[in-house]
Amino acid sequence: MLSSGLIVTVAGLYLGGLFLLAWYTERRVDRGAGRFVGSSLSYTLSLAVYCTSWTFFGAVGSAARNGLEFLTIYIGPTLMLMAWWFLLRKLVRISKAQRITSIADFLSARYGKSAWISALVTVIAVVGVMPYIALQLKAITASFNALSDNPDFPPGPAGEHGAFGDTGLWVAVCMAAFVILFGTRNLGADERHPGVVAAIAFESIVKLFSLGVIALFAIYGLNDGVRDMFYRAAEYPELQRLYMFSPGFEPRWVATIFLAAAAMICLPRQFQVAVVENSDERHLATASWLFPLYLMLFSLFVIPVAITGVTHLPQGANPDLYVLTLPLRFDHPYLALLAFIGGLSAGTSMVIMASIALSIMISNHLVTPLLLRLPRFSQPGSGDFSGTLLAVRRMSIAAILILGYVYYRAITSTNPLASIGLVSFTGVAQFLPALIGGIFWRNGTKAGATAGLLAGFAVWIYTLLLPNFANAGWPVASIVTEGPWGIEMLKPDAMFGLAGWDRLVHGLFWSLTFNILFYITVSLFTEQSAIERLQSAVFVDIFQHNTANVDDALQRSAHTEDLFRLTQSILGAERAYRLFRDYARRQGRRDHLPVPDPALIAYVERQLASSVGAASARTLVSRIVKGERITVEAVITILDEAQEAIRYSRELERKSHELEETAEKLRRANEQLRRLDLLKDDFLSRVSHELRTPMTSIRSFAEILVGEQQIGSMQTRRFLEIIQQESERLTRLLDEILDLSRMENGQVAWSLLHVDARDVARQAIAAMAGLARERGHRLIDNLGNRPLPVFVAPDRLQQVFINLLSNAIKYNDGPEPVTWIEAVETDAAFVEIHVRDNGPGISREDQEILFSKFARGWSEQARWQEGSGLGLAISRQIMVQLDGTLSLFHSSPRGSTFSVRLPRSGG
Amino acid sequence: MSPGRRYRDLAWILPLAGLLLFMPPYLRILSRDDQLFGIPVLHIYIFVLWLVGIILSAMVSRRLVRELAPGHDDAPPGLDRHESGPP
Repeated sequence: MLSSGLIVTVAGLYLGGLFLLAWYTERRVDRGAGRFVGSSLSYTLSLAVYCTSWTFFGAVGSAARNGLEFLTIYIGPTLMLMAWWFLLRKLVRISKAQRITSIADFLSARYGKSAWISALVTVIAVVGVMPYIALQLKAITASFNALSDNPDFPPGPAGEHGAFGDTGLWVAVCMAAFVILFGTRNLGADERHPGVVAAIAFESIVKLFSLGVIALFAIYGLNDGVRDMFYRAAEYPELQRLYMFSPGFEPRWVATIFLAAAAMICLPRQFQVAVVENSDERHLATASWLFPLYLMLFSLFVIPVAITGVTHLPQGANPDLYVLTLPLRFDHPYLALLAFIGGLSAGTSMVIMASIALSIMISNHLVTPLLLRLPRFSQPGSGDFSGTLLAVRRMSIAAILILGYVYYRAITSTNPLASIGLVSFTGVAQFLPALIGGIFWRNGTKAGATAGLLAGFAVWIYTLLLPNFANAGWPVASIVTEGPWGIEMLKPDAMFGLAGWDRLVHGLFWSLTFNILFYITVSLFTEQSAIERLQSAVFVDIFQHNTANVDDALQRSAHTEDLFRLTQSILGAERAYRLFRDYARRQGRRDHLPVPDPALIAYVERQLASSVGAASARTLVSRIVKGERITVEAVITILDEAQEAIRYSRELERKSHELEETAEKLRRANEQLRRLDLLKDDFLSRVSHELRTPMTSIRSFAEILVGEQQIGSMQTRRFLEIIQQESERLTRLLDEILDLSRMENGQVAWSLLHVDARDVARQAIAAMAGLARERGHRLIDNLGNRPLPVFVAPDRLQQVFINLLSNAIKYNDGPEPVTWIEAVETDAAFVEIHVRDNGPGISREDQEILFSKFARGWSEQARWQEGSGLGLAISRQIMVQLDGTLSLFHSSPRGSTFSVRLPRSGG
Repeated sequence: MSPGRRYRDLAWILPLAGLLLFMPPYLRILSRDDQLFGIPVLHIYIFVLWLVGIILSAMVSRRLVRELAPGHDDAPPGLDRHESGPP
């Protein structure tokens, strides 16, 4: 046992240190130096405000009484954090964009900035959380009494000295003073309290550490390690539920996992730390694994304390206080003091955060709307409102703690800690349908949300709170035992005959059933107003819309002076001045008065909302602006039209793409046709040109022969020879044209044979040997000795070689003209022969038309040359018919190489 | 499937799988009077499952966090950042 004085001194020092920490942090943040405060670690630790004295004391009690069920309270949030990408991230993003200050503000902003909804949510939250605050008072009081030499041990809330002798009252008073000092030092630009968050984070470390120490003490101080602990536990049959589930555990197990997950976002203080105080979305990523780790460690520490409490303490000791009584009984008073501090930190952190969150809600959503109706505040610029607001906050904090104390005195004496907490969880879980529906379902209406909340709240009071009151001796016991007016079907713990279920599961099931039913049904049968539709679009599609565009589209007008005076009265002169000056600077203006464009009005409204909530801010702003109603409709249209337009333009884009492709195909086909047309014209003109030359000479010689009488017989003979030569040339030309056109039309019937391509090439060399010798041209046979079997028409292939050789001979006017005919090593499927010369080469433009008909015909140089100019075109056609290719392999001023390529025959 | 998309899928698969594995049927199977290293098998199942979930969650989050922009405060661009903090 320790003296009360010592405990009070230590607790006072601890709280004083906490206050210093908060004060110091805020100062550092003001200077922009708070590194730890903005970190994801402090964010995660501040989430651990979830672990209250219910966890610290109650979880051990719950484990000793009900076995592993206490784990659900920590598994639920684990799963909720793991799903951060879908839920918490969206909540945070929306709250940032809308300057949300609390969960009531969030729901009200979603459902048309309705003042009615935020007031309703505030009332539910206060009523729902009140038992929870009472629970903290109870836990701290009980732990104080257990630790001190207070004669009340085992503890009861009221001693013989009346209320003033009750430790609970003094705990409540201390807490109230503490929170007022802490949470309302100033009216934040947004509802962020970096100092408080730092203190909460610190408390999270303290409570985890102190429970860990007690757990280690239990395992190694009182038992001989883990194995020994479980070995001893086996002797106590009541401990079996700690490693085996009792039959019928399922409904409660599932229900409490769900409840705990919902509480993670629905409890006002959790919403405050997780969403409102979040300064960076990326902190969620860290918290998604670090916070589950924290919870897992906490749960891990609970088990040994619970087991050892049962095995080492006398029967009848209060399991909720095992954490304290274990070290006390085995004479470690300072360990017990550490445990007390842990419990104190768990309790205070919850009370601080919960009462800050609730006081913001009460002052913004219950008191401010009423104050704004007073004549004193209903005129713009009617004095400084921020002082009033702070006073309201302080009074709400005091009121919350007084209510908590009253509840604690009235009710909680008989219930274990854990069951009180779960009743609170179920109360705030009523926000869940409107919250989830609000961010994923566009068509939830204000009326639907109101109906759902009211129905769920009513059923919750009836099924869960009423039996508690009855237990406490209120005159409602007959309703609980017999049903209202004796109607059994409506009994609070067996509605519609659903008897035999656990009261919590039963109450949760019915309250949420009615809640969801009303929310959806009423939403389906009511219409959203313009502002509701705007807000629902902004909330549901937060990741798609750019909210700035919405601002610009809201065409409202106001006088800058009115806006300034309004801002000044709510936020104070200095902040208002800075806000307007900065905005004016951004607009590029010299003076401090910005142009009152719609974006400024929206910006001012959001800034006000960060102090008084969305609904009140809207009321205030709409008093001094004009022309909103029509334009909100317009915004909706813009939003809807924009989406329609995006869809439409995507469709158009797709279609125009298809059109483009078709046009391209057409263009290509047309191009080809035009080229063919050109080729045809070209061909005709060349043919007529080529025919005309011999015809002209035949005709002129014939005319001479007919007209001139004095020509000698020698000359006559010469003329006739020329006429004959020209006729032969004409015939050859016509033959070739016919030949070519037959091949092009595929009308050929050649007899194909298996031959050696070398033999064919050598025959061609032999045929050209005479011409070559005449020109002093050397033909070199490099065909080698390996056979090149092909399946061809031999004389046609020979024609190709002859054409190539004759070209090489004819066009080479160098001093030492040479042509090489060589076999080229290729793969097994083809044979290839190159005809290489050391002639002048073929110019680049000639290369392009080399294989077309009469390619050479135009060249003046070639005018005197023999041949029709069809040779290469025919050769190429021959090769095509033989399934081979003829191509210009290489050409430079030092010579050209033609390649003849044919499929190798198998035979 | 791109790696980013796989991780976005894991972001919903992971909590759902966790929920499923913490449901009564699995717990009932392990709700027996057996011990491993002197520790009840049910405890081992629950806490190992929990730890694996934490590790996977850390891996997924490390990947997803890259897709988030740093901060989304509503201060007009060009203004002193301090304006949106506490005065």
